[in-house]
Amino acid sequence: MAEPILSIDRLSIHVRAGGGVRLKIVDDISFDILPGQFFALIGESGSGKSMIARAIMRLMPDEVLDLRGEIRFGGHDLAHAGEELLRPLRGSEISMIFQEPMSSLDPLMTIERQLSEAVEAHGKRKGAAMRAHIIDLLTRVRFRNPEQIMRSYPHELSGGMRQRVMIASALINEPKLLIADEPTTALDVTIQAQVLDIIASLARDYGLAVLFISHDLSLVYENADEIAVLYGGMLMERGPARAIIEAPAHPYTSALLACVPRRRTGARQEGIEGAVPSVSDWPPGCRFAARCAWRQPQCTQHEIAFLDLPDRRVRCVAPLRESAPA
Amino acid sequence: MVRAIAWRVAGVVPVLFLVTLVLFLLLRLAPGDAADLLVPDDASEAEILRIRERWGLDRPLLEQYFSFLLNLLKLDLGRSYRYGADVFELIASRVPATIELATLALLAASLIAIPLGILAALRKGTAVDGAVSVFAIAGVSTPTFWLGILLVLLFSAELHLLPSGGRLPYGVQLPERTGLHLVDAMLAGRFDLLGLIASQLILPVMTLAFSMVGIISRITRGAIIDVAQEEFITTSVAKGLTRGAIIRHHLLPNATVPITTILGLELGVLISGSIIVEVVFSWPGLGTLLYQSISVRDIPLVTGIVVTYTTLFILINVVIDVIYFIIDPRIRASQGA
Ligand SMILES: Nc1ncnc2c1ncn2[C@@H]1O[C@H](COP(=O)(O)OP(=O)(O)OP(=O)(O)O)[C@@H](O)[C@H]1O
Ligand SMILES: [Mg+2]
Repeated sequence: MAEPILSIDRLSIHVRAGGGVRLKIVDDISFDILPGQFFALIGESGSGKSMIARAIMRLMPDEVLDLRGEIRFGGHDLAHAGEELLRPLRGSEISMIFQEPMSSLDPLMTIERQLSEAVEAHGKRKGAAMRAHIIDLLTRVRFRNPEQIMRSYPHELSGGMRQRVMIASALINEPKLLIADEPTTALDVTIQAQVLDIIASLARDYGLAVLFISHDLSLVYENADEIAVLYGGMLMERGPARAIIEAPAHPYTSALLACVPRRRTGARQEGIEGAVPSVSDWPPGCRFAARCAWRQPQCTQHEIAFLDLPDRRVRCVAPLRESAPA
Repeated sequence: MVRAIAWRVAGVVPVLFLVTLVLFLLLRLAPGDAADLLVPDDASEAEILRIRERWGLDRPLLEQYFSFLLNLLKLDLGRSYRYGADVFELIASRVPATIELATLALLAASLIAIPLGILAALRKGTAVDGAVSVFAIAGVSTPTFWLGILLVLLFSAELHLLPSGGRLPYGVQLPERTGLHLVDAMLAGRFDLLGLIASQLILPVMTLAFSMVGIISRITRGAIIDVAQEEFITTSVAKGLTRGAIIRHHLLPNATVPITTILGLELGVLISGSIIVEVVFSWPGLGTLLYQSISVRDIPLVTGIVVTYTTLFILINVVIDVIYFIIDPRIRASQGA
């Protein structure tokens, strides 16, 4: 098996919340991403997806107090690396695109300048070669008139177009890992599919590993190789995408799958019963227990450890899969 | 662009109309008779009547107002009761002194406050930030006239370092062309006078600047902190740009929009502050003229000066709109380049 390109090992993140309270919002997360793999990190709002994504590039808000554990990439531990190590990696080895294409581009700068700035930061190309490269990338993200796009300001483009510009910007230095934090959530449904398809096919062309973050499992049906399901800052289930989608082992994964909107039949999205408890008051034991249809007395008595099944890991005392030990 | 500017300039008309109307009514309806000021104390009734007739004070108020408006269109603001001179010319001779003082004060305030604000924002929460905010609060809460008097007492009366007022020391001759002394001295090749002129300027300029430093530095700090939280700043960190490049290319340009806005809003402070500073430092500008003309109820002169201040205020706002237009492509788009 290939060496992982990114290896997150027992990552915990603490933030400073109101009133000087210290909160653990990401709790002991581990996963590996292999070169060229499409890795989907799934969870409801507030589960800590963006925190993990930002921790990898060390773009966390000031409220983050500390990172525990390791984020191994290219022989370095990014969780504890200094700026002088991180800066050359950012945008060159690891790139990121964000949820809000409306605000992730500088409103005062033309697209061309924003793209060339990304190239120049790593000094890989200059002048005419750089321009040609920018045009090539804009074509790859399916702009028919790249030169006109280059002259545009962000406000002249639609949300989908801006997100495609962001993708071009992220891939411009041929990184090894792309982190996409809900890149389609803010877009119209019709455009979501296009943007998703662009990311997936460019990732294949470039042999790029993708950490794709979403709250919507249906978005990753087609492209994901691996899935990790996050709930309340903890991993609940992790394994090959196909296996998890076909037979979820964790009741939470199953609930997420059940509320995926059935696009073709137009059935209503149900949503999971109950709300995510606030981070400050996790009950002992399984964090999902309060909302779980299969809850048993032992779920809330002690910490639930990972259970290793043949094809995956699941944090549940009574996994739903038949093959699992009862 | 040109259309947008023309539109703004045209906006002067209704504003001036309102301002003059209010002013006209206030000055005429205030107790006391302007004619009293125009005649000697021992004047007879007949004499007073003649005077009233001569200055048109006997006609109905509305008629007076309309003839005033008609004359305004011809830039004829009438004659000063007090000086007998043409109001327009009186004002024109004083405007450069005010512009010189106000421009230099705004410049000085910006040069001090904007870097301080940037520094405070970049060092948010540190001792540097605290020191800047103490300085800013001092600037906002110090009364301008009090500071002016204090500086005069200290630097002129006590230390004899700087003159206490006026634009030029007695007896010094300077050929006037623009009316801006620093410019005139350079045009005339009298570089020897520059130091002298500057020493006259320092105290009033600093006093006026200090009244603006507080707000400008706070707004700059706030603007920078706001922009720093924008997602595109995170994007630029994620691109691998250096901190310096992010500050120069993204943070500062995006903060100029709110900073320009506050500079525009500070014009009100600048104008009212300049009147006080001019009076304290016997600066022969519009402000002192206004002060003197109000105290003798010189109605045409007061009206003319207020009209001038209003026009200046609006024109400077037009300049600010042009600046927006240059820095922000979104505004360019909405106003049709
Ligand atoms: N700046 C912050 N200070 C303190 N707590 C924060 C901060 N940002 C996020 N959190 C908390 O961290 C937790 C995880 O937030 P995160 O943004 O990673 O969630 P997410 O899974 O990305 O959700 P979403 O789908 O809404 O983007 C949340 O409970 C949130 O309240
Ligand atoms: Mg998020």
